[in-house]
Amino acid sequence: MNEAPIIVQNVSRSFGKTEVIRDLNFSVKPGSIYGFLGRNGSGKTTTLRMLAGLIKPQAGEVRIMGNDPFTIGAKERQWVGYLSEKPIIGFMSVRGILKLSQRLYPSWDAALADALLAKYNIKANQSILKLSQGNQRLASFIATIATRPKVLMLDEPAANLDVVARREILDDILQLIRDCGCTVLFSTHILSDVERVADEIGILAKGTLQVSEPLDALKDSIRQVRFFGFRNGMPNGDIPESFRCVRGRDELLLTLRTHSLTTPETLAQRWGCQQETRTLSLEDIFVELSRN
Amino acid sequence: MSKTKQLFALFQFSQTMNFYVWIIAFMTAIPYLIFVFDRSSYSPSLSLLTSNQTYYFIMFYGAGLVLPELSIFGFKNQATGGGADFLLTRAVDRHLVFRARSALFYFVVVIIPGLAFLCALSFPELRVSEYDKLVRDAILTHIDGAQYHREGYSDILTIPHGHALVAAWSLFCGIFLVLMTQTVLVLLARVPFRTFIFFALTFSIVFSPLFVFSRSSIHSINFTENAFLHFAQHPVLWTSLLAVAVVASQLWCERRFRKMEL
Repeated sequence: MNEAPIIVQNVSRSFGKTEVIRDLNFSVKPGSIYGFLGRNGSGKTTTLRMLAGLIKPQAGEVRIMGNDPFTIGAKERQWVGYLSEKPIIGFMSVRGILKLSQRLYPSWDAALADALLAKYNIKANQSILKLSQGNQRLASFIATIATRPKVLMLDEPAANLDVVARREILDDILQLIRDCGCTVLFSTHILSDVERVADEIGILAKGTLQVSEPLDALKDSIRQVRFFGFRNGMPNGDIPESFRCVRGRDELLLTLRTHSLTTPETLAQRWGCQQETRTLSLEDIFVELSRN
Repeated sequence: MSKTKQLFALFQFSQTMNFYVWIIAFMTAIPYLIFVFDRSSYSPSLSLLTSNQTYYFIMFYGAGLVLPELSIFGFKNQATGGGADFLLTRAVDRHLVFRARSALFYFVVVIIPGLAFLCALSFPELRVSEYDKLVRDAILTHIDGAQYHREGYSDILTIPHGHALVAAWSLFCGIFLVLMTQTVLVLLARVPFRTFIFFALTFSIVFSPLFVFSRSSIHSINFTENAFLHFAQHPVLWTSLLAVAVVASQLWCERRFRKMEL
């Protein structure tokens, strides 16, 4: 059996009257990196917190390595790494945090932890409180990655980090995958990070997943098309094939998923008009899919 | 990793994250200094012995210690201060996180009264020179071996093992208050207006002695004295009941905590 290590199935979640996640579905293949994109408040952190077992879905189910993350014990948790968006604030030293982790994880890689401390230039004896926000994040990252997880979930790993540290974190994630075939799910706003490392991406907007597919396929399949010169007038009503539709006086600007049945050419033929197609960068795709 | 090792690691983590509790432990210790410095008598009455005002701190810091995730004081960072997100996503059994916090809570509250109790065992006899007549009669009726005699100009009430009984009573109250605090916190965890309810409850307990003392008269024994007398009459029974309550509430709280969203 080669079940996906991370599965989110028909999940919905509200807080009070605010619906944050609605009927969310995706899975992450073993050994792959899944970039989870979305605007602020789109539900990324809520999804990751459900996967980390901090909160429960109100409908549907989430599975981590075949288990319900909310009910798993220490034994099953050993293989799941989670980096929260909240830093560890406390009076412990970095060494204290790492020692605690070492005691909880038989798979703890002390050499890796020491190497990363040296690489990021973090003093082990310093109190977590006295570190900068970026270094607090890095210390949490080290405490998570040195457990050698099989599934790693990172909530905004690059938040508050400079560009060099960000690159290094991404390199470390890739190294971890090379070393032990770890499966990674990470949320971010930084699209260049996703483009550098992600095999597959999901874009979350308004509580639902707009797309979830390999990065290259996504870039190939989404196009912005300008339809103009309508001989029989512009089509009225919703256009189901489009993610976004902007109507001008004599033209229609659509963001489309193009596949064999719905190509810009077939639509232009159906509407009796001309078309002009533009490829989109990941940032363009993200903006088009996330914009209200 | 064995559960014991895990619990010990979590206990260490909790106490490092909340080192301020040691300051509070010292504050609650102040009334117990009497067991060290004053070995012979107490005054003016037994009611001062049987109620410990500093115990009310327990309810306040208990909230930050046992369930920091509730942000009962309204600080959003309290949860991260307790390291909740980090801790609950490590390789730990969830209920052991609560057990470790509870253990620290009990330890902080019990350590000083416990030492005072051990100290009191070395000079168990209690001699009280100033007291209420009603209290004196009640003590003579309820506590085996209690005697009353004149010594010079004073009427002395002597209670064999009285020191140990009063120290044990303080220990009993401390444990009971910890038990109640954590049970109430877990009960309130998902209730709307929990902060308001918690503070209302805490302040009513803090100010209840004013009400109790204003209602009591020279013709009656107040609540704390009465409770102490019951305890002194049946110490084994009350201690056994408390032990059962501690275990039952602990298991119940852990079960609730395991299912709790944080």
